[in-house]
Amino acid sequence: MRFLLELFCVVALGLLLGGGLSWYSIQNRHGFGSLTIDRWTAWPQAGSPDADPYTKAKVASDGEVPLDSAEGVEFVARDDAQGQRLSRNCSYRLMGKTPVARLWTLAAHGEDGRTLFGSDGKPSVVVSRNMTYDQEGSVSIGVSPMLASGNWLPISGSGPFNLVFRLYDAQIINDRGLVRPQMPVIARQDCV
Amino acid sequence: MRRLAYLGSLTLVFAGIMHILIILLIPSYAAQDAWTKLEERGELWRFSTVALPGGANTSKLPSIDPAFGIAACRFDLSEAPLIVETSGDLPFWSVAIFDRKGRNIYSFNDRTAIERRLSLIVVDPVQMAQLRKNPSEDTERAVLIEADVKQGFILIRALQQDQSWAPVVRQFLSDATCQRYEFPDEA
Repeated sequence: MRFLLELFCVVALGLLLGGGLSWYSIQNRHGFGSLTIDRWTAWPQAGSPDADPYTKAKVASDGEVPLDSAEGVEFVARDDAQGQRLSRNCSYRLMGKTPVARLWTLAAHGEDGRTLFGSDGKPSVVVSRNMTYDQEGSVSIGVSPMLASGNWLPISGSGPFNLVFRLYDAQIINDRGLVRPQMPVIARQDCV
Repeated sequence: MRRLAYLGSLTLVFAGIMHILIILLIPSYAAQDAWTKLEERGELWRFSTVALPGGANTSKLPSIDPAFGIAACRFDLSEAPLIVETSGDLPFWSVAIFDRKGRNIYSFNDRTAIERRLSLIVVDPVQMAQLRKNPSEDTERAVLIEADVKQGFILIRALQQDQSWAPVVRQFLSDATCQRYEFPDEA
């Protein structure tokens, strides 16, 4: 009788612990197989059959359709250069060189991956070919609820958000291995 | 006391095994994976536009580039090989083929396509052998992909550089066909 009770406790607790740990471990992406440049993180292998089990589980449970190697790479930033969580109440400026790619887009997404919109109702996204660059080839993009001078990515509302930088037909990984690309720095300006 | 420590470590070991099992089994049993989300959007062998730039992302697929229009089609190679075609003069498009569990099998973009036209045939190994015996004009014009899967889906992503491209992107995606490929008659 005592043995049965103990067995029950071990199984029940084990299931609870194992299940809870599994649930917790797919709430966020992990460092496995990731490529981090400053505040930007990418999972170039996310959609491939060679991805690690945690990334695979996360991709499947969210129902994501990750970009494959011949399509592009997706970098996500959750924090600004100082390490503060990105907030829709603040304005930011992205500055610097971008990695070599045929084109890139910069978009603002909510915590759950949905697209955000500016106050004019248009989606928060800009495409590289519509950007202006300085003489050294650097780009400067204002991310703010209010109209910014030069290149502007509009955001609106309040709460945290993620910046997603997608490089298409990119040379991040070539046959000689990893090319460490430069990513723009996210500098916080003022907050409401 | 020793018995309790023994039971405790037994629980931990059991929890660890369960954790590993659950993580490995999630891709096979996820209730809201990409396939399931696309299943709600239409039948097999038919493209449906799952997202259009400008915010019309009604697909529940997370983290979709808002500058892109996306069309998806589910297929089943155990019925027939798949032939996909569309054309249009866009600055950028890409195609990715996924298996039932949402893993990438193959991808390419407009630059690597033949004459920048989208024309591809997906076959399983048996169908590939059949095609090799009986090559046809179609197979010479198209990108031929051998995939060792049964069910899967194909995704076309088309860039809408700015608002003026909206009709072109819409046309490109709605022109896309996703059909069963019929083997040519043996001569």
